[in-house]
Amino acid sequence: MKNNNYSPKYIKYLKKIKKDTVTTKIYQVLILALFLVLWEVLVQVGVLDAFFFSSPLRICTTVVDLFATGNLLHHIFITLGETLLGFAIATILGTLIAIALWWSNKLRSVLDPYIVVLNSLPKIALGPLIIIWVGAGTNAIITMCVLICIVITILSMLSAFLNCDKDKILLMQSFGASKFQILTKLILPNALVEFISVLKINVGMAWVGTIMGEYLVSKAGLGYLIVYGSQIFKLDIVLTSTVVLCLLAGGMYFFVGLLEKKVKRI
Amino acid sequence: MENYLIFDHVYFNYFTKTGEFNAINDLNFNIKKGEFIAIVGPSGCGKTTILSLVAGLLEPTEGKIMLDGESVKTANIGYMFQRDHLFEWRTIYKNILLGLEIKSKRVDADTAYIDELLVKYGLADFKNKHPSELSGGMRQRVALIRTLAVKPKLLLLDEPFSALDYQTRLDVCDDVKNIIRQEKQTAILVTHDISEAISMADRIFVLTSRPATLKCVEQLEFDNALTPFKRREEKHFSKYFNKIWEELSNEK
Ligand SMILES: Nc1ncnc2c1ncn2[C@@H]1O[C@H](COP(=O)(O)OP(=O)(O)O)[C@@H](O)[C@H]1O
Ligand SMILES: [Mg+2]
Repeated sequence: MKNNNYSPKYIKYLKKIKKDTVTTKIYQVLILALFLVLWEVLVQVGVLDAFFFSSPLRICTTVVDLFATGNLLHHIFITLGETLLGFAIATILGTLIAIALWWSNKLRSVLDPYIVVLNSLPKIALGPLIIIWVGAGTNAIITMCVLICIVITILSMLSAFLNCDKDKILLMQSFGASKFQILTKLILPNALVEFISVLKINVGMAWVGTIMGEYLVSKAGLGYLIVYGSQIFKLDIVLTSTVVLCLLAGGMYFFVGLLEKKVKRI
Repeated sequence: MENYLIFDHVYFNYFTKTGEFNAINDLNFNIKKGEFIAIVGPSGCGKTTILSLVAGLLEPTEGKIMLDGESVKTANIGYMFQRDHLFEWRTIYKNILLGLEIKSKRVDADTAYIDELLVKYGLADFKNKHPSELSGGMRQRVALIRTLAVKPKLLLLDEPFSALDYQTRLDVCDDVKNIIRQEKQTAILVTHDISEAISMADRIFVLTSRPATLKCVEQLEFDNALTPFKRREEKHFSKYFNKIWEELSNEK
């Protein structure tokens, strides 16, 4: 950009926008810092009981301790692995099912009531059944994660497919396109934006699924740490795991955001 | 010249859950090669249905439609819509290639023809841009080139200008007419805008309200060199306008 072409007022306007984003960032950091300091101080002066509320410093030492024994990394690895796997399976399988439902009107109308019921059912209710069917282990956790993500994936992708402009389909047909060509050259690329927003929703959902699964059955993982910590009344462990979870989920969301930026540029 | 497109006692019924209704009723006409036909009629009378029949997207309930001696189901027919329907995820060039890709005959001769069209109609510089970077008029020109790229035997235009603002519309009319004439295309334009029909066509078919059938045909006599915009300044333009307007207002 050639700055010398802009009027002074416009330059001022640009500066203001830049300043606004900077101040927003500063406030965001400030709130976090204030929260941490307040928390620490209240614990130190004894207003809050460290036994129930832990404290930022105690969380730091817990992180260091857990790292030293090699445990934390192990638990993170387990939970992250389950979440990513569940996320990937639900997204791919859900999209494939949505494609099948788009392809066949018959299939769609036949399955419609089942999907509606599955959507409104609280998936956690299936927990005991899942454990009996696939065993009380990693499989059950991943199954829970997939179950929670997949229905919303199917419904969102299907409605994106069906919302494609009728005239665009006519255009393809006037060129003599086959159904498969309509799918690959129009329906799928047209639904890309919706696909990204499904990914975003699934990032949140996948963590819910995994942690819920771990509450039910696990022997390791962050969800397990939380349950274990609360059972032995080590709130340090519970809060440490929660903070780590926040960071992981935030990081995953960040990567989807990067992907979104890349797609938007196309 | 012999007949190119033939509508022979064509009937079409729509089937819906609430009943069956007759949309096209005993439609007969002939179009010669290279002719530019405009079809006007009250809205909802069945104009789009006629184009879908010509494009082979619908099949007549009764009667026969032939294009250059073959069935329209197999014929190569180009269709242009009210909106340009360019795909935002493709560049201009890739958009224009769409038809060839679908027909999977991306042979060199065809891409050479596309390059020729791009240069001839001032789109070469926009080749690698995305649709959102172009103006509405420019996008409609791309949509036309995309349709012409597959060398259709017949070009169908379904109210292709109605989504544009008035000023752009007059420009794009000139533009489209010029390209169609240079490429010697046979074309059918559907519109509810009488002056647009008079400014573009060689003949105008006036339809009755639903079920559509041919009410009358108007042969237009204008100097061949006149652009659609120039036609609007001719003395007999308003004479044609009044005549067709009267025919249509009897229909309501
Ligand atoms: N797929 C369809 N099913 C049932 N009725 C239809 C369908 N498409 C159009 N129609 C009806 O057929 C009539 C003619 O439609 P159309 O050809 O789109 O009219 P026009 O293009 O002249 O406005 C209208 O009354 C419309 O409601
Ligand atoms: Mg119409």
